[in-house]
Amino acid sequence: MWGKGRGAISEVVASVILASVTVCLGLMLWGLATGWSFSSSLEFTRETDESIAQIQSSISVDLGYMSNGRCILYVRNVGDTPVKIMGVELYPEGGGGPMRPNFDATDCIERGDVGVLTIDDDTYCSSDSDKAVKVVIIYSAERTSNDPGRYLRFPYLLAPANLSRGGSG
Amino acid sequence: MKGISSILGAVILAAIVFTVLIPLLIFLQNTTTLYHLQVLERHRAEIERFQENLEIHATISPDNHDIYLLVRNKGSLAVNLTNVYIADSGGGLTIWNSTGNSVISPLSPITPIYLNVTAEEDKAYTIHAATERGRSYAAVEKPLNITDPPYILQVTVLNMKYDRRYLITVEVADWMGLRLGCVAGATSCNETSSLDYYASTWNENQTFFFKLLPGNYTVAIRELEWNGATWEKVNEYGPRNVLILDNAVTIFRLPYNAPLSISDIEKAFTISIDAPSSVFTKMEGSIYKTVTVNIGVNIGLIAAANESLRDLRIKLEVVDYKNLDGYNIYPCGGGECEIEVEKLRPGDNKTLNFRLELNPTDNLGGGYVVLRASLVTARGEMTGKTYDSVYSDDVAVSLCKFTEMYYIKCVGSDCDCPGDCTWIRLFKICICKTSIFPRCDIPD
Repeated sequence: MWGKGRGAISEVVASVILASVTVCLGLMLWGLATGWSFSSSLEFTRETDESIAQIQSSISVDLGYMSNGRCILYVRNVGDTPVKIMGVELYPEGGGGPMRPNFDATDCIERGDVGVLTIDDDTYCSSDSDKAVKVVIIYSAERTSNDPGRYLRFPYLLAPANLSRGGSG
Repeated sequence: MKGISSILGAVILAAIVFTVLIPLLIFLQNTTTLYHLQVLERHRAEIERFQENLEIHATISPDNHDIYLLVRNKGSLAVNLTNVYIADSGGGLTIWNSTGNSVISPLSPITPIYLNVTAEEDKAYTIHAATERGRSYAAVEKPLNITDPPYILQVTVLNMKYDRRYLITVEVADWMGLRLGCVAGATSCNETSSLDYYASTWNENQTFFFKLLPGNYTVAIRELEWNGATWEKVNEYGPRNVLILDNAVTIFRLPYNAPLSISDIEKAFTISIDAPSSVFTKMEGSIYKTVTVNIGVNIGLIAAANESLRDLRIKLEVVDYKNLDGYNIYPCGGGECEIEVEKLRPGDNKTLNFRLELNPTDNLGGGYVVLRASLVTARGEMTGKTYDSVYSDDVAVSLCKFTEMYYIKCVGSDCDCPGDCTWIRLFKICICKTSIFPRCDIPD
């Protein structure tokens, strides 16, 4: 390696040094790779779990009717995870909307359960108005309820006749 | 020793690949597979949801008016009913929760479900049933109102016999151990209702309508005959089972009856003349005035006649007369006159109006005419047979003429002779003149 006749380290030492350097660099690379892999797995797991939660959430409306300025909907959780109703939008017949009225709903609807959603709107929830209204229920799986990007929408057409059957969404 | 670092480096890289990259890839693959399984699961659930197909009817028990749901699974999947919502027009809402086994198998018979709600007459009910998969079905009878059953059962009866009564009865029948449905009748909701019909022609066809709720019914027809004192049952057709889930039609074709003709038309058909027995005329100038007489000809067919008569021709004629210069019978205007009648049913009576104009001779004697009415021809409605030559009794109308004559009003010195009379002093006789003395004649 060095010039002939000069003092030099032996080949063995050189090899050991090189091997040590290689092992150190290798361990460092392995550690980095492992860390990256672990954090990526966690992130991917979280994303997948939220996507699965989104897929597993599903609702339907058993019955909807208008009564005394209120739209009352019996919302059934037909999915595989508890859901929460996050918001309601109204689209009146003939255009307009979305209106965002006050509403009251069961806090969390468990799998297979029915929750009551009551919407207060004297104008569009009156059975005497002779106008239908499309109710869009904004809901989410309970475990993704803090992520508005994961919210789902369920439309339901509410007929004006008292206690008539609406269209399912 | 040369190359050991390269070997170590290669070993480390391999270790990284096998301990980090490959497990990571396997983990990602597994997670993705899990996600896809969930997607497929949701997809399958949605497909199943859309494959559900239920038909739901609402009806009541005729005994206590309890509401029942009739469920028919027309799809290929079993369906679990979870909730039933019964809303009434008074604003009430009853939620029926499935506590037991409410699974409706595909292609199963119609399943009745007791809802533990009693229908009231002044309320209408809207019923929705929700399934476990998240579908909601409204009962077809929307709303269910026991005072206004939604379906019509049309019962057609063919070839009814003449002169028979038919009682058509619809009754709620037992069905899987239950009696469901009701028929509108005298009151809003009955378990049975009957219609009564009298057949007035041979092989008569009639359709009868009943309004009813969904359910199982029997339809029966009883044929009654009058035995002189009461209506006696001679035949019964049915009972026939009819399942009502929509409007329905049932036809009873009774045996065809060859129609009978009228065996003795002279007894079955009546004809008579209604005319005054005498008419009066008086001199006007040197001739007697023409006399007009209204003549009624009464025709009838007895109720027991086997068939109606069509296209009847009724004739009025003068068969004899005396002391007449001539006569005319109107509306025809000739010496005889015929009037056509379109139809005469058994039991019918009609009067035909003729006008007879008589022209008296100038001599002082009274006269007469003898009238006769007859059935010239008629056709049997069912058999097409021709009936004719039925005559009325001859009826004579006397024509009386008022003539002038003198008479002795009184005799003697006490006689108070009016001014328009003649007092013959020599004989003490009062002679008066009158023109109200009739001269009539009658046939021999």
